[in-house]
Amino acid sequence: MKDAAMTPLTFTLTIDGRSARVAPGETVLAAARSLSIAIPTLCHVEGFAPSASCFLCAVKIEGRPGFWPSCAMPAAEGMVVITDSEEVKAARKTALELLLSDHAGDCIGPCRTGCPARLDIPNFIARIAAGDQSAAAEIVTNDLTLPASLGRVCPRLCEQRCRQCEVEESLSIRNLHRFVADQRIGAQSSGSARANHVKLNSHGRNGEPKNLSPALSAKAPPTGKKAAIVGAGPAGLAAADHLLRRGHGVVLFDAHQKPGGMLRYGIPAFRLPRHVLDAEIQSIRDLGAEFHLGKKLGRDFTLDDLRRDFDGVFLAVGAQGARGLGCPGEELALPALEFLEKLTDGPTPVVGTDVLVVGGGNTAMDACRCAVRLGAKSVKVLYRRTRQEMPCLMEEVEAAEAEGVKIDFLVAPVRLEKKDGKLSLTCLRMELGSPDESGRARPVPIAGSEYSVSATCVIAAIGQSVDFNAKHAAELTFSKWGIAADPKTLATNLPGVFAGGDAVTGPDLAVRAVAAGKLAAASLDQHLTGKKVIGAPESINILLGKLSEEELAVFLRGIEKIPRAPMPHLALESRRTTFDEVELGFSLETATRESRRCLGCGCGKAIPCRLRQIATDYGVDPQRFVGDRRRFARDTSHPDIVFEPGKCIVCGACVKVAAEAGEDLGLSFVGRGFDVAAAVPFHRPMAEALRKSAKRAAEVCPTGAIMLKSSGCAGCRLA
Amino acid sequence: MSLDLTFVDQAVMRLGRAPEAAIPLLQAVQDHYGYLPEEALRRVCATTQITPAAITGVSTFYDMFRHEPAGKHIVHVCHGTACHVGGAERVEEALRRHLRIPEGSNTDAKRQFTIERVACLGCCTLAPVVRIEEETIGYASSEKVPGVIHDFLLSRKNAVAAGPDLSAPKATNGGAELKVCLDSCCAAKGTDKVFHALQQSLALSGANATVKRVGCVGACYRTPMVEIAVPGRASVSYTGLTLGDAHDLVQTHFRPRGLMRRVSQLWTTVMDSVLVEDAPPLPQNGSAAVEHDEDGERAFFNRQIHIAMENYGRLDPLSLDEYLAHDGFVALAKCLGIQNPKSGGKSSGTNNQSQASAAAPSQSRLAPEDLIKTMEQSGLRGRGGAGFPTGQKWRMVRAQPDETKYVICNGDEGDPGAFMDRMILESFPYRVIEGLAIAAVAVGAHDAIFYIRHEYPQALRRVKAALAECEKRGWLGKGLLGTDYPLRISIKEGAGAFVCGEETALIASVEGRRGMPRLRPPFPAQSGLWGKPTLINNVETLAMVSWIVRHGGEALARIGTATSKGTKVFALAGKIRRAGLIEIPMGTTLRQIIEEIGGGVAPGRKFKAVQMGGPSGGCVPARLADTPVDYESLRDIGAIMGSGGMVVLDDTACMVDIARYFLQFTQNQSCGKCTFCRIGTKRMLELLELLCAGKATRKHLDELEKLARQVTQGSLCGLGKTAPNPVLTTLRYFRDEYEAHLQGRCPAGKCTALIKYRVLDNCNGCTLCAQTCPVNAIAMTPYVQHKIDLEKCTRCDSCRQVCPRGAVEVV
Repeated sequence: MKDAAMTPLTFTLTIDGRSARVAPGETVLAAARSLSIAIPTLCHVEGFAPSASCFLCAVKIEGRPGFWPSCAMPAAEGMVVITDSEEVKAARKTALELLLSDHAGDCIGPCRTGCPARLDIPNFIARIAAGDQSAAAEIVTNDLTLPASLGRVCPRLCEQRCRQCEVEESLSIRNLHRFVADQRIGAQSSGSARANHVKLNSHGRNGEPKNLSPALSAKAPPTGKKAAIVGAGPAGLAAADHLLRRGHGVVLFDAHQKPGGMLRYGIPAFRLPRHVLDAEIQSIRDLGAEFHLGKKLGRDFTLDDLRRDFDGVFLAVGAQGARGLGCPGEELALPALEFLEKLTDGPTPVVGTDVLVVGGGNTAMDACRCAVRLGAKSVKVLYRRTRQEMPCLMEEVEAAEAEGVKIDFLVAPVRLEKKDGKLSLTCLRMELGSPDESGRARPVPIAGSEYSVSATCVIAAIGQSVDFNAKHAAELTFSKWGIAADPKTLATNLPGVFAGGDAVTGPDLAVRAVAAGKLAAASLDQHLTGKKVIGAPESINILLGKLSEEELAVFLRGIEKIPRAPMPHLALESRRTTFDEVELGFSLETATRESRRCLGCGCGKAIPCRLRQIATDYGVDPQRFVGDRRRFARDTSHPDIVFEPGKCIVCGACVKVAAEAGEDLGLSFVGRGFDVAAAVPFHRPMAEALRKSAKRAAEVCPTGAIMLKSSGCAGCRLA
Repeated sequence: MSLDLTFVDQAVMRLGRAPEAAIPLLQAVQDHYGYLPEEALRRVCATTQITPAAITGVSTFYDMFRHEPAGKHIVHVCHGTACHVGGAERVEEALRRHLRIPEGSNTDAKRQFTIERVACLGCCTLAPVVRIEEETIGYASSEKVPGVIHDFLLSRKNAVAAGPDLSAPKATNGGAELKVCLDSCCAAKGTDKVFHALQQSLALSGANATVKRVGCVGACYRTPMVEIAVPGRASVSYTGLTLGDAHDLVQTHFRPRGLMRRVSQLWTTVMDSVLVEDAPPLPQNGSAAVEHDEDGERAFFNRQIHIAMENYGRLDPLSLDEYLAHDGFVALAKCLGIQNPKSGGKSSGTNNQSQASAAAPSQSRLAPEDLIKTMEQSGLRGRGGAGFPTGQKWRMVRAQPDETKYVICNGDEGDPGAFMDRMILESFPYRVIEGLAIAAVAVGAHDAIFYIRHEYPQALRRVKAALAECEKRGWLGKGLLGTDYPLRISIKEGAGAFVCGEETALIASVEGRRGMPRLRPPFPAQSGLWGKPTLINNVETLAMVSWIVRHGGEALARIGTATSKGTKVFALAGKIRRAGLIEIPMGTTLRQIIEEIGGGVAPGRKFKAVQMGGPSGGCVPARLADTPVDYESLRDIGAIMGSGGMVVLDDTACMVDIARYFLQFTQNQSCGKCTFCRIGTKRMLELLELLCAGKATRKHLDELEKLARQVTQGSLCGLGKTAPNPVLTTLRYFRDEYEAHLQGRCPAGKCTALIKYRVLDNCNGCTLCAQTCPVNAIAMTPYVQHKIDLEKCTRCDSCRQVCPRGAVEVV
């Protein structure tokens, strides 16, 4: 009893101004947790002696300089601990940024970071490779609205980042998600059998959608809330898709007679057959979307009406304005958008024999290829820069040239006149000067190089703009490009009113519009359910960046080296005379073979791993420190786990697990200083190291350095 | 081809099967096989309690272990601070070129030579230093490399054994003594050869004289040095001797034939007056100086007070009898309450208990409590760097109730630029043993351990020999100094890891683990080696103990300042005229040390800064040179006392490069545990490299400063906490140099990416530069002004160094 009187039974200490009582021997971390004060930890494993290495649990202790690891610091009587000061948070953030600067692994595949809509590419491709098409379809439809349409028109930002680029050509990702989506809607092209002339669009077509969206079954119970979406283009449709799945009611308004926006009115049918678009829109309709077509905001109804009648509004009115040639006589030219729209809605425009298309973007390519199909004898594209600067996919240019289009580079129009019933376009030759603000070389006129060319039709494909302004909704705030909206939430200056897509950014890609719709749905959902509107904050992503040869070899292990699958095309003769779809799609066999080229980038740890979770919480900048980093490596020898030591943060948890289990070989720290790593003794494979404790090691590992194969990630599948 | 593993089994038999045998076993295996063959390691694991994980962790942690076979000869290139500012990188480059060692490898194709970088060989006054096998070469330079290698190979071929013969017959009574220091530094400058030559000459002359090995004098800049002591006459010292001088010297002194003229510098009775002093009183001025630099010699010794270095330059470090004759073990006897031990005659005597003269109680015993009080009164603070009060530390350990306690002598002097502890261990092994034994008695420990870094082979040999001598007399083991107080003293060799100077890392290392520090508390005084209370004191601290016990605590407290008592030994090196080991009272100013004792920098150069405390310390600018040396004053200006390394920098030193150098060191020496230390120091180094390459922006500089402060705060042990100090102090005092690097300029002309070489008009075309240039960047154009091809030029500085007319300029 005497002893008990001498040693206090409990200590009292103060943490963040609150008082905690703990038994002697308890740590500051335990004391904080007893008060439900959250302190992040990575290296700490309950039941193990503290490692005190990661420094995420750092706290300040009054009267002592520096930070102290709370996981190891014994609590003491009267101690005053601070866990949440700005200084402590900044130190933790730096610790995370340091850890991430030496983290050799991708959180998600680089392709996925390239996709604005964050389609889980490695995962759905792994399902194709495994022959599980319905699982693949579920991933694709969940992540991406209009996957079959985007599977035809997307410029494939994902593929630019594909690691296969470093070996062969990139994986044909777009065509694979087209394949998956086509299968689902039963819209698989099969050569010219499905001759979809443009005129078939307005009425009956074969190929009604079959097996409806698997997402239907995933639809949440109705919430009773209703949102208005203005604009039924890709952004509006995507927002509708995701809102409906969350159980909200949706009404879409569109000025056109049919939904689809630019996908329908700006892209010719030989690239995106209308039955494909219709089928995809139908599946959204089937989810419960209501369409009010032919209704224009500011003409037929006002924003105030919507705010009164709905619980939330999403403005996705697009960029419908066309820019003219910018020279005298520009009114004589036919704007490309009007031209393409007429091809869809009629009457079919008459272009005559000699067509000039001014511009170098995708719209220019679409317009010139349509002109060929309308029977023009000569179709010429005029572009003021060179081939390298063309802002469109090179395959579109090649397709146009294959169909007989000529492209004249370094030419700019100066005057358009009507002479003798024909049009005469006067042009100047250009040369390239210093780069402009877009980074492209600025075209400079060559004095005295003027010449004229005559045409039956001149199509201006110079660009589009947002023609939605204060006239249409006076209370909205606008930016230089369009409606002003917070990029994180898409909230406008009006509560409950969100805006996205081209209407906010100016003319941009369909896939970005779809991504904006998805984000708007997340924000609207938060708004409709009375939560704080935060948008869809993403976990931070670590990317390996440029790989060394050895690292690439690790990725390529087990990957057969085969060339990218070519896309079968419609015979050239039919291409020049019909609006039938040119790209015919992959067969199951081609898709399967192509899917096996995927390197399965990305991390298989339960997503997000603790490191990524905490790093996200602390809003770290993974690029703050750039320097030497460890090499990416992968040991797949073990039946249950994959070991990727490049992701190790040297916490030692696995080393302790192995020692505790009495493994014969076990794991050890190797080296010193910056080069310390956890490794198997004597350079043996992981299969020999952890015979008893592999699963426990994967469990305690705070990162993706040790992960279970059963998590089924792409990397694990390859393992 | 299977390996003969008999040796491994024998080593296991000899060194034991316990986990703590890991490091000694690895050292034995490497000594035998030249590296660590995997089969041998597996055999160790199969026959001991050491696990594969443990042996892998340990063998990859310490610098000394090799997992690949090395070349026939190992060339150690020292990259200590003094060596770095002296051009170690260029020497290594030259060695690599000359030995044809391919990039990315350390061994040449024929496996003749392996180059290994060493953190510090502790011969800083001879910088830059290279050690080939056991032979240390001082003042190395790129153009000397071919000659050095040639001489080395020649000596191997002729198998010349010119080392000293310590078993030579001693002079009879009344004979003269020729005292020669054979510590590592002196040996590196050829003193061992001089010693041998003196012995030969004496043997031929038949004179009644002996060449005697003595401990360090400290005046390293003067070696090789001989002091001739003839009974009844003032002793005379000679410095800067060569082999040829040895013969003349013997001729002159022992067959008088007039004055000796060939010996360049004659040291006079100044030395003598210093040497015959007894303990701390200031030396009297010498008389009858014949030598022109007498003032310099006097200035060197004038301010010094020798406590840790008591009786320096006089005693044979390994003669126990000499130690006893100079109050050796008197302090320990007092603590044990026994009579002073008497010199035991011939050391060849067998285990003779009777020589433990008086196990019987005699004089009043200084009981442990009083002993600790004495230490507290003395005000002694730890000399390892942190300056924790020694008495208080002892009291904490004594207060622990445990039966088993340990005391450890921390001889892991890892700071590049410091070599005080090496010198003390080499020159005064018995004094440190005595201090360690007193500490053990004070805290009640019966096990004591010397932890000495393996880079100090001579120190290890001497301590081993001294312990063996004590054991031979029955003074260790069962009964300390013949009493019934048991004390075992053992030696643990470090294996090359700076961080092991940190107490908890040192303990991990002694326990046979990776030297990774842990959080304190608990402090080693509460839970240390094997979880028992452990006292860890630095070598120099322990070397002060016997003097304090003999003279009383107040005697030490009278020296020094209010908070820093006594004396401190410093290793004065770098760009200074009189480099060496000095022991000065606390409170002496940096200016007094550098300008008076050290004689300032070379003529024509400007004293710019002094680096104190190595990688944990800071750079003190010349304008703060009047700062007194004491713990608090140094801390206040951003430096630290540290273990006592003091590297003087002149205007040729680039402060950004110095910061980069230290970060490179700490980054490599970090145990790799704490995030801030492991990755933070690496990122700091990378930022400094960008600066040195002229590629850094303001953003980089801001980040460097921000990160430096966070690394300081976010590390567990002293290494990480202090690693940013070199950056923070250079930023504080030399920010203009950082700014210059942002603009692509290196004001000191050091950062190779930012400089060019140019030949001036006074070049007479002597072709020396062209002959020396290792990359043929200078064409052979006799009598025509040379030109440097900047495309080929590697900025190795050779041309500038060899040019007799100073016609090569850095721009």
